[in-house]
Parts: sequence; C-alpha cells; structure tokens
Amino acid sequence: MGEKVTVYSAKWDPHISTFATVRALFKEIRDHRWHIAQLFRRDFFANSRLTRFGSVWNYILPLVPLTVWVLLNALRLFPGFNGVSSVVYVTLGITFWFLFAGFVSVPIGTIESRIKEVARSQMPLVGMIIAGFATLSFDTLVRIVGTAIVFAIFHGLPDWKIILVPIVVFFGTLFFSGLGLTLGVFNLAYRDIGKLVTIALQYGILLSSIIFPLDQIEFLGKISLFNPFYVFIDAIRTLTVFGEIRHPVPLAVFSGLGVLIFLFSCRLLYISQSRLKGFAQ
Amino acid sequence: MMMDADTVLEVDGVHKLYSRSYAGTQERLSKVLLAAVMGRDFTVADTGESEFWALKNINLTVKRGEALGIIGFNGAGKTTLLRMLNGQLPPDRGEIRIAGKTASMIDLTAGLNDRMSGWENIYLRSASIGKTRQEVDTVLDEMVDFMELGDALQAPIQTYSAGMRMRLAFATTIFVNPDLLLIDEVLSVGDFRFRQKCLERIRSLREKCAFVLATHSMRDVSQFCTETIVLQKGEIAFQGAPDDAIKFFQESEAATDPAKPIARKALGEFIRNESSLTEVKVAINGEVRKADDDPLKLARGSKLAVKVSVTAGLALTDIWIGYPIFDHKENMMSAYSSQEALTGVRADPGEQRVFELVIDTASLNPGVYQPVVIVKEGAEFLYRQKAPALEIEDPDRIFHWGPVTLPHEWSVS
Repeated sequence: MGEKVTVYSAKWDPHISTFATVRALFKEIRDHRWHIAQLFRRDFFANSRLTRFGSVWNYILPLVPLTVWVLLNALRLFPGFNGVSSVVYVTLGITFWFLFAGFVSVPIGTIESRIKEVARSQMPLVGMIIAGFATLSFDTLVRIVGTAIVFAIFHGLPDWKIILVPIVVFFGTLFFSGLGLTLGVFNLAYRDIGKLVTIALQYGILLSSIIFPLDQIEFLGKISLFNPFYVFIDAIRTLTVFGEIRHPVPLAVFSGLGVLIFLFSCRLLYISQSRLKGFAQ
Repeated sequence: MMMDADTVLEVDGVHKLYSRSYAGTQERLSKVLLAAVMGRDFTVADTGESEFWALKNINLTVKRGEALGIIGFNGAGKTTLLRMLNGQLPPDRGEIRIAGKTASMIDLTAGLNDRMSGWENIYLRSASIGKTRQEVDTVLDEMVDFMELGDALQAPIQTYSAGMRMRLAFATTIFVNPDLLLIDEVLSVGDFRFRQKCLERIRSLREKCAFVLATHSMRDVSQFCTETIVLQKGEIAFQGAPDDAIKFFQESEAATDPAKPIARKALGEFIRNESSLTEVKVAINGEVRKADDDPLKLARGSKLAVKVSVTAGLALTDIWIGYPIFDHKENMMSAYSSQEALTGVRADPGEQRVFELVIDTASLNPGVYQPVVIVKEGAEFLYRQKAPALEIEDPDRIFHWGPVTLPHEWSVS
C-alpha cells in the first residue's frame, strides 16, 4: 500500500553513525515541534493559573535572584570587583549560571519525572527535554533583559566584543546540555546521580566565582580553571565588560570537550530512549 | 521494509521481560545503558533472578478489515502487548512491524491537564498522541460536535465528570484515519448512549483499518472480532475464531476457579461511582446479602423480593434501578428496570432511597442464576455490580427443558 512501515525491535543498527543519531534527534524535535510548543504553553501557564497576576509571574519570578543581589549591593554589602560594580558582576554571573546549571539539571529532572508521560504518549523523550529547555530559555531571556538594564545603569555600554558572547554560550550549551543529557539517562539506573548533581550545583554557585571572585585567591584561581562553569561564565563576563578572554586555553579545551560530550549524549539518548520508556512502568 | 499489501500488523517472535523487584529493574536498565554505550543490541538472552517473561514468543498478523481480539485473565499480558504495539514498550526479543498510522485507545486520559480548559486539552491531548495542528483543525468541528460538551469546553477539566473526560479523550483519539486502531477496554466506559456512539464511530472505520481489541467483555469479542487470541501467562494459549476462543477461555477459567463457574464473563463491566453513591445494599427476601455469599435457595414459583437501598453522595435527580438476571451460561434470562415505573426519583447528599422489586419466579427453571444490580442517574451508570446469586429449586418436577418454563396448560381431545 506504500505506507510507512514502523518497526519496533529489540535490535538496532550498531553501525549507525553519531551524526545520524544527532540528525534523527533533530528530526524528532522538528516533527514534534507543535507538541513541544503545547507542553511549553502548558508549563508556562500552569504555575500562574488561578493567580491574580496570571502570567506576569512568569516574568517576575526569573528576575527575583537578580533583584536579591541588586538589593544587597544597594546595601553596600559587597565591594566592586576589578573595578566592576558588584551588581554587574553578580547579575551577569547569575544569569548564565542559571542557564548552564539548568542545562544540567533540566534533563535529569525531566527524564526522571516525565518518563511515564513519555511512555503514555507519542512524544519522544528528546521532545520532552526540549520543552524543559524552552522554559529555561524563556527564563534566561527575561534575566538577560534584566541584566542588560542593570548593566546599563551600573556600568554603561558593554565592550563591542560582546558580539562574541553567543559563541561562548553556544559551546557552553553543548557542554552542559550534553552533560545533563548523559547524566539524566544514567540517573534512571543510578538514582544517586540526581541527588549528587543537586548538591554539586549548590556548592558550584559558590565555587565558580559567580557571587564572590574566588579566582582572585591564587590557589582557588588555579583550581577554577578546571571548573567548566567558571571558565565559560568568566569568558562571558570578561568579554562583555573588558572585551577579553582571560583563560582562552581552558575555554578552548572545554569547548572541544563540549562538542564531544554533546555528540556522545545524543547518540546515547537516541539509542536508549525507546528502551528507557520500558522502565517507566 | 516491505509487508504484504493488506497486512497492517506483523508481530514476529516478540518477548517482553519484566522484573518483580525494583533492584532487578535497575540492574536490567544498567545493562541496557551499558549496551547502548558499548554499541551492542538489546536482545535479552536470559532472565535474571527476579525477572520473568511477561510476553513470550508472540506471533500475529492482522490485515486491513480484520479485528483481532485479545482475551485473558488479569496479568496475562493483554495490556503489555497493546502497549508494545503502540510503541510504548520496546520488545526484548523479536520485532513488531506496522504499516501506516496507529491510533490507540490505551490510557485514554493520558496527556490531559486538569487545570486547562476543554479547548486547550483538545490540542494538548491531540499533540500527545502525535497529531499535527493541521490534522486537529481539519476535524475540530466534527470532534467538538461528537463530544457534546458545549460550553463546558471553556471550563478547566478538573470540573468534568469522568464521563465528560472520556468524551473529550475519545473524540480527540478517534478523529483520525488510522491504519491500525488499538483498543483497551474503553468500549465499556461511559454512559450507554455515548458508548453506542463510540461503537458506531469505530464501526465506520471497520473496513478501512485493522483493529486490535484487548477486553474482558466476551460480548465485544464475539460481536466485533474476526479472530481472537487467548493469552495465558504471557503466551498465546489459543488462536482462532472468537467463539472458539471464548469457549477455550471460559473452560480455562472454570478449571482455574471451579467453585465459581459463573458470573464473570458476559455479565458486562462492573462500575462503582463512590462519589455519587456512598452505599448500595441489596436485601433478598428481607435478608441483606453480599454478592459473594452462597446462592440463596428459592423454591420455584416463590416470590423474589429484591430491596436495593442506595445512599447518595451527591445530589441525584433521576435515579433508577436495573436488575438483569443471567443464567450460568451468562445468557440474560430476564431484566427489570424501574425507569418507566418510577420516574424522577431524587436524593439529596446523604439521603437514602430504597427501591423494591417483587418477581414471581414461577417461569425460571431450576438452576443457579446470577443477577446484577444497576443504579443509574439518567443515562449515566453509577453502579453496576453482581448481586447475590440465586438457586431455584423444584423438587416436584423431574424434567425441565430450556432456561424457562412459561405458564402453560396441556389438553387433549
């Protein structure tokens, strides 16, 4: 009859290339883009439903962490860092911390909590994760607008090399989303992973020079170069403020590593996602 | 991948492995992930310590226009097989091939969100079963007419009754042109009129697609299917014509539970809406009895007084009682309804109403009978459960033919 034949099998093609798995995942995302939009819409309105201010909360809540630091700065609890206002330092750091930490924690949380929903619908697991990323991206956009306002007030214009920031964000996205996808898949089998990541992120925000410039302490500064959060966020911050990248080698290493981790995670997710549904029962 | 022109579904040596323990599941998942990392396939060679085959060596072919029934005890693997056909569960051995589109009526209310309106849920549910926006928009008017939810579509579905949710979910599922339709028990859900409407819609698809129906209703299998399999402990124990499969299943069932050979098969689905009815009591000839009690012995021709006491949990406006009586072969012998005699019976929350039915048993031949008590509000079933069984005795007559003996006289001239 010429219809497409769908095959569900215990076997899979072990020779499938990694790039083919990436293409297949992106095709799934494209095919289910309407469903992803519906899920984003559901999650977007779900929290604010029945409230008086409605979806205004979706714009206010992501800004709360920024406003806390602006307030603390107004109380002059923190000094400036390297001639940069502490408000600018912290808001820039926090905005991209939440983005990158979200790329790690969202896949872990989504795979763990939504796997049953995936098993009961035609939505592929990757679609559900992308819906989670969409919410994260929306929150980040709101924070970026807030940060831009803070930056303009407390610092002025950014350096022209800010145009390079999207490239750093792109490689950071590959690195952290790849890490999150890999850990998220393994977290189903080893549930301690999710707990350990939560703990690591709680300490991470303090140890990645997001709030305090720990990198100015010599020993911690050297260790920080092994911390991808620090390396990516510091590059974004220094590009925006000073137009320079202070640690180009670690940034290049983590960027390259990010590509590899992302490709590995796509392959792992593509091959295992149909099997993971079987463990949602 | 090519399949015969008319073949819609091929199931080839499919196995499914389950674990009895959480640790076993985690261990299996670890092996799966290791296989994914190492580039090995996922075929399971042997079962682990806490594992068992939920399905074993299932082979099937279903062509367009055919309807395959799946019957079996609870836990036999019916729903697991349907979920595998729907791609929700992957096989651990073997392969499933489906030509064309699949629509499934498994977990009908999956994908619905309580806080969102009926309209929003139409799109959400449609998306979750893989429809595109264009597909939904094309049939939206027809779909909404079918639901008959009217202005309720504006309200969050947390305000809906179970029947209203089912209407929404069913309509969003059925308005496609599938090549394979998977149905899990849902033909028995909802009020009678809506059920008829659903059946009519399903029948309209009959020629165009293949069906797989997993059910406990022998009536649906008999009326609807062209071939039926009986699953026992995950294996196909019988495959053939529906009536032969039903006979095989009933014999297996009787062999499994010889003490209670009646009253499970064609009696229909059992329902209990506990929010609408907090209590239903049945008294036979003044004695409150339970459905599982031994059959109440009655002399043929004696009066059978059935008293049904119902306590409302919500305000009910049009309560009526049904009392069908089935023989041991589950043929309905007779049925009684208060619908015409007692109209508009109401009850406030907490209020008890008592219905009484008196039947002359003179026409029933000796044997064991299984009545069912039905409580409905308007068209909606609130309660449908086995009633206490009856055993009619007639020590004065030796011969009886057929299930009933109508009042009669002989004469000769």
